[in-house]
Amino acid sequence: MKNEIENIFKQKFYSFEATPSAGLFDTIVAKRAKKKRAIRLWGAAALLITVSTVGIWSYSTKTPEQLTVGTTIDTQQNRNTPTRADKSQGNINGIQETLAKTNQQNYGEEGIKEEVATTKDKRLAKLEAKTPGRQKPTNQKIRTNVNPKNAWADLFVKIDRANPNMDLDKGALYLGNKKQTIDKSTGLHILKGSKTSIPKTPILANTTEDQYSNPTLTKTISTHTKKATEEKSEITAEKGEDIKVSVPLPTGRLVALNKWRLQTSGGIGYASRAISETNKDYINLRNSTESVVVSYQFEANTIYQCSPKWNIQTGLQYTIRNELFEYSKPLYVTEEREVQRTQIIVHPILGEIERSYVETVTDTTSQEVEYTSSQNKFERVSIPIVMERKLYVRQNLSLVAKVGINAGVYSKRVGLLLAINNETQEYTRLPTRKSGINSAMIGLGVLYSITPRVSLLAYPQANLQLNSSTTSNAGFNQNDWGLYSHFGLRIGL
Amino acid sequence: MNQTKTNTKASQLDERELIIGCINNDVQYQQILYKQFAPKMMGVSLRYCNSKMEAEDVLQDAFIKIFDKIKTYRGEGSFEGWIRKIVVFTALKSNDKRVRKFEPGSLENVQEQGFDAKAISMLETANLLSILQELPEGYRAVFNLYAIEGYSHKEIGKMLDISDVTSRTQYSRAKQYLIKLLAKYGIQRV
Repeated sequence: MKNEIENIFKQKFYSFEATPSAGLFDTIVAKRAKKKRAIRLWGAAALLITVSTVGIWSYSTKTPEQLTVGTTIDTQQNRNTPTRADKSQGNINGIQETLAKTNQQNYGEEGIKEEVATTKDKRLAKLEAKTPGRQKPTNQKIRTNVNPKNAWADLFVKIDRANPNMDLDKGALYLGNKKQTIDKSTGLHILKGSKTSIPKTPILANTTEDQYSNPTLTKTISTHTKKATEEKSEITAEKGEDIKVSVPLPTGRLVALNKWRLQTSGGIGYASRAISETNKDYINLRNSTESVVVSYQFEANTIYQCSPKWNIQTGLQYTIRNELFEYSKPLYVTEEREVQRTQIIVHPILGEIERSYVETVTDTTSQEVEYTSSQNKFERVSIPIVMERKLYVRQNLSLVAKVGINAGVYSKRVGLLLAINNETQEYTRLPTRKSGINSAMIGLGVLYSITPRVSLLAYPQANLQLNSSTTSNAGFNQNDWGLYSHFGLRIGL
Repeated sequence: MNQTKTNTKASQLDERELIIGCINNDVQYQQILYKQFAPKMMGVSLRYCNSKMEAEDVLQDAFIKIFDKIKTYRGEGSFEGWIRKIVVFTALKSNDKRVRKFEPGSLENVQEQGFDAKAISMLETANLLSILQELPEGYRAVFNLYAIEGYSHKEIGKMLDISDVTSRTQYSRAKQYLIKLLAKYGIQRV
């Protein structure tokens, strides 16, 4: 008999059929087509982003050999004002061509004959002849400790020293589209506002050729700098002596062109939530049962430096908001006990009669409290899209500010809360969004450059959830907010 | 004309052909599959939902999933069982979006034994369905899964993210609630 109800329902329903509305199949087909279109669209967008990223990456990590296009050394003698086209499509095939032009103007046709005729292969042959057993350089990237930026700058200054009539102040060195400023007196390459961070390079005059020296350039400068040394006092070489300069071929990547940074940070914070509900008692009850405990946030971002001041960042952000739920529900405990009582009855004939009886009495003997507690944990993974600006720079310190949004991709809530009926309820039973919880972010931080590539950061930031983490079925809105102090590392690529 | 062609095709097709046609995204084959299974699956969906409109939404989502995932069907178990499972899971997921209440109503002293089984079986399926739909969603889900689909409490626990003990308790309460509802239709204890 016990299973009879199940059997009846099973018999009735297992093969139960009902006709769905006509046209439902057409809706299914249309919805699938729409879904496919959306997938294709997203796929194309993802492909476009990937291709663009790879494109920008490869452009920004060009090797010096590739820099023959887009690298221009512009002098007053060649032109007065560099044009945009010159910057982007400069056609100097390495430094020797510039030298050839400069020398041609200063020393006439004869001076450059040898140089122009010299090809890369001849240079290599000479190098091999000078240093027996030396392996022929390949096209592979050579990584050295020489700062390639400084090497270009040094070379530029050398050109100036070798050509006394040249007005370097009106010249400019372009790496890609970026105009570089040269400190003529020291030969150091300086960037605006970061003079102190540029390491000092050794004086190149009278140095011996190292394994990366360029014999052609050495010879060229050596041949034509006799005259220059007599006139220019800055050069430390003795008069009449051939100045042998070692010009390291710029190798490795050019740091100035790489605009990508990686950043990772973690922070602790104070985070809570705001509830929108017309029933104020319910909000008060929630506020009295939930208290804030320390929360955490972690970020890993890729940064693209759009300009010296502005950058955009994106990556992943993982937030864990912790909360303590404590609820004490009054619980009255009743106890029944038997009491022996005595009653005196006055009888008209018998007089006073004493009667004893037992009475059961129910007493509220004590008041207990039903205590429930839970460590609530709200996890969220989101993709931040942030813009950051340098507000102030002083030596190695920079003050930066950022603003952006976090697009939520995943969210999980575990723990207890008080339902509208004042009973404890698991968060998993509450209709909450699993994704699409978006928030706005704003922060003000400090960056400290340990080296030109590596910086430490301290970044207090605030997050404010823009849409409710509950769905409309929950009956109330709940928006999280948090203040986090991030500490991390930023590395230039 | 097209209808006749489809019907003829349906009768001639075996399950394997139907599946291959659907894997190839042939709308005609998909329509045959839909026509073959939609009424039965609508019956399943109705048991889990509060209204016909809701059941149709579930059925629609379920068939989109079926057509998307049909290439993953390995032929293990019956094809209808595979489809039914998708419909049931879609319905449960749809219910997840709402609050699934597990609190019992005021059902004290309701006995589950001694009901007139004949009287229950005399009821029309439509009436029984409306009784079933009156059950709170949590109870309805457990009752459907255990009594009608034949899942074990352990399996139900996994599906609904509750313990198997909770599933057992909910089922017992669901039955009590159901008996109370049956009483409303004049089916009393004997």
